[in-house]
Amino acid sequence: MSCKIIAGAITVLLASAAPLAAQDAGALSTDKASKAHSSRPDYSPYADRKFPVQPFFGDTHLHTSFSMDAGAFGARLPPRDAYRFARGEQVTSSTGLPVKLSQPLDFLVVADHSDNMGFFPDLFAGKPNILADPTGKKWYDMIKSGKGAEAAIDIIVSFSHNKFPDDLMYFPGTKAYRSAWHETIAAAEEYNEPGRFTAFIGYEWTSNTGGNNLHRNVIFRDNGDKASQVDPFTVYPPNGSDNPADLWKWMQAYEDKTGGDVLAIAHNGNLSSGLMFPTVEAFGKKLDAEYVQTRDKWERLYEATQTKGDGEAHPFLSPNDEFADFETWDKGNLDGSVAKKPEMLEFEYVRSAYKNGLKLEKELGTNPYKFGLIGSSDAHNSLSALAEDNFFGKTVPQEPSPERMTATFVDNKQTGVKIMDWEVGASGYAAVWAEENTRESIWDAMQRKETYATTGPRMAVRFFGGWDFVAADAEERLPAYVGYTKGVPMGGDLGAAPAGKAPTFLVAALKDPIGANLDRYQIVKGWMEGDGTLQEEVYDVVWSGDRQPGADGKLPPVGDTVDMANANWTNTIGAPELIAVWTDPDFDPSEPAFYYGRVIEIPTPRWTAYDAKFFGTTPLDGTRMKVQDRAYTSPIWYDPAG
Amino acid sequence: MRRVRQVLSEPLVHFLIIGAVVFGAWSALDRSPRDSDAQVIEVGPGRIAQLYQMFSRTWQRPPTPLELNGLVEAFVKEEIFYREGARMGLDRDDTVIRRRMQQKMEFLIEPRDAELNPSDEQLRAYLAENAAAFHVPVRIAFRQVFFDPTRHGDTLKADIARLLAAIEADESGEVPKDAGDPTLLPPAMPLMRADQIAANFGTEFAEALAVAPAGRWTGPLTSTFGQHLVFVDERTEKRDPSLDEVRDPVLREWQSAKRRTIADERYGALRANYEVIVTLPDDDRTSTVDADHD
Repeated sequence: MSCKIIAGAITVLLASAAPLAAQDAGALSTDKASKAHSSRPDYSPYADRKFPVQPFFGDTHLHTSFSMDAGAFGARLPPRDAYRFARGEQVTSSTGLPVKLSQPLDFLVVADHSDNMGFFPDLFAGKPNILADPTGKKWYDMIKSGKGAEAAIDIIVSFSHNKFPDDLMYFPGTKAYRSAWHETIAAAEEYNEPGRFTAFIGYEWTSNTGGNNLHRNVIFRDNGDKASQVDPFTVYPPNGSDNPADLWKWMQAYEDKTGGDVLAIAHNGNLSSGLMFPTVEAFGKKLDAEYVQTRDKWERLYEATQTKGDGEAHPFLSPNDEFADFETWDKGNLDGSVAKKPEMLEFEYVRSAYKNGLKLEKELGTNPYKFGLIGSSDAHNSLSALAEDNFFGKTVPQEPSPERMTATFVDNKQTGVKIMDWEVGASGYAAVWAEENTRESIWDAMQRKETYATTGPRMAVRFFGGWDFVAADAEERLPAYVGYTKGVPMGGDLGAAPAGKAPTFLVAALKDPIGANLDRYQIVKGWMEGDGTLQEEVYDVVWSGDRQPGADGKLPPVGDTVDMANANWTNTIGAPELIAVWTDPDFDPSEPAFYYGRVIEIPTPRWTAYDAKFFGTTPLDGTRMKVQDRAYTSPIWYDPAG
Repeated sequence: MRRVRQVLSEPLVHFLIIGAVVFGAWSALDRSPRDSDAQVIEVGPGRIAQLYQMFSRTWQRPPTPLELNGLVEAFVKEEIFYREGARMGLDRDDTVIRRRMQQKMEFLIEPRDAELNPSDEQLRAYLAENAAAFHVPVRIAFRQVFFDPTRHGDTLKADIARLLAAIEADESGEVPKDAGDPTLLPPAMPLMRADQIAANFGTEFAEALAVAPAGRWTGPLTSTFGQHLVFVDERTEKRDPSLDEVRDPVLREWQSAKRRTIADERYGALRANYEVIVTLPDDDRTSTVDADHD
């Protein structure tokens, strides 16, 4: 990376305010920054503020009845209802329950599986296969010339005499002529309301060979005029492929043809049998410069947390991190057909991928795992409802019922992999620091990785890195202004180290306004030593109350106010807001490193506790009933090469 | 012919036609395979064009001859398995296929564009009937200075009162730059709905702000984070909007309601064709739990 950040240079954020190609939104240079930023600052610090002032919350991964498996599970709500629900309206769930969000979401991507998405062949009026059929052509011409009624009679007559061509089963002019993809686009266009609610166009590419999860969600920056020019990429041959490298080719072809922009977000490395973040080879091919560059180009974000397990860290890989075992799913792959082996874990989790990425960058010149973080739901019932006290499950059978705490989700008799419905987590959402609530602004913020993952709560989390933050910066009335002025936000690069300086970070977190207080703000650091050894360390940076770290350096737990019988808790412990400046005490300028923030809430009742209270269900042994929800920021990277 | 046309423009007639077409198609497909044609798979120019186009729309280029051959072979394979499977009746009691059929039918009986194109009168009537859903709510623009109780302890009240007195004594009415405590909360909010304010500051604060005097610093107000002095810059009252102001949301909601009505009607029409006989077992196995929802 050749771009450098000098002290005082304005960030990538401001760069995006200039009319740059979206493709460059993530790349910062002082040249671009100076063009974007007025040379003479205004006296008033509030004047002409261009940086994002609020995080937008959304879900990049929601399935509706248009997904084959969701429909098979009984999902009834199509994309339109998914958007209505996300915008804050009350809907009736597929199981007949009235449901509404406590607060509307700011954006949503309906990401239905591209395979088998289309209910109907592409037969709408004027398509070659219709015109190639003489009868079809006759009807088409009749309709075109305003003789639709006559055509209708002709069609009925054909039917009654069994003369109807098999290929032309659908009545011209009806919605049925459109494919599900076009309906998906139409729903997004209808509910997209710039400034109020962003409805992205997207789909999920579901590479799942052998039950190993390599899924990616594809999100369009563009409107329907561009997205409707193409068909989503699928997995099944002959049109599709299960190799991500082929998805990247599809993305390139889309951008080349339409001039549009797409990005891909992978998820559930924990169910990939060690294939999500390879370091040696992928699909039988040794990783090379092209692989790492292409992956870095298209996969700027990773879905670090969702209903099928959390992917930030694993206790086997991070034995000293007492918060690493969070909503862990590590029994097997997606369908339970391959049981987990410990040696797979390193290639499945975010933190180890970040570490291995440093090594790959040294070997191949590019870090393929320099991605930002978001959370999302992967719910298959059109309902992005991930609060612990309003959790509507991952699938339709997992919508609230007296049975859902005791039912089985996956049970593979051959491998012994068994996952219960109570293990499904009420997680998560994507938080994006964008200037405004539009497709373009939010997509650009995703592309530059100014994002964080939350496991459900809507806390506001800031994370700035630079060389010159001082304690007094945490006392400023506008911490974010200082952050953008003196450093880079989450997702950025520190650039070369000035002589004798260590990286400094301005961190701040504000609790969910209707949620629980915060326990602590941690910084997770990973780095590579001169001999290639990879290391990691979790630092407690700022916390609630007057707790002091013990002899082992660990901060004592924050406490616990959960009243299990009533599924309640109080904010008498923890802090509503945490702000601090932290300097890396162990910095070695010769070692590449990454830093990301992790914000932990105080303990609250897990969704299972709300269920137990509401339905009176007795939990199975081992059911987790409490949770310390959290947020993970995109990292800030340090590269000795600058 | 005119009368025929009139009749044909009725939505119900359309629906019946669609129904006839679909059922015709299904019954046509369902006919027992005749030996003479069951073993013939025709891949004609229409099908080729379709395969060709699907490929092109995926890859943004036409297939090579080799790729086209692959597409044809894949289609033939799928067709053979489909026919063999259907002949064995494998589709009959398959839950996935049954649900898929229901979905396809629901998709087919979706209203046509013309049925979702209301007149202004219809929209105005809908707006009047559902006025509560479209109120322009109270909106407030304000500034705030935050006090973190943990930083002030016992002097919190006095510290806030001192700042308020200082602002009132200052002729400019300006708040000193370093007043209050650092926070991620925005120092100023443009005109915002009360529910948006509640989403950022909590319900208690939003309710107190709604009745706070405008045009001067006042407080403290309690939020979910701490204490605040506030200055209400502007407050707009709740009112009923004109149709032009809310045309898009009213249209969306009208269409959404219409979709549901039409779906219910069309299902009702289909169901009317059936005599449904339900025979409950002699022993009553229904539960007495109050789990019914409307």
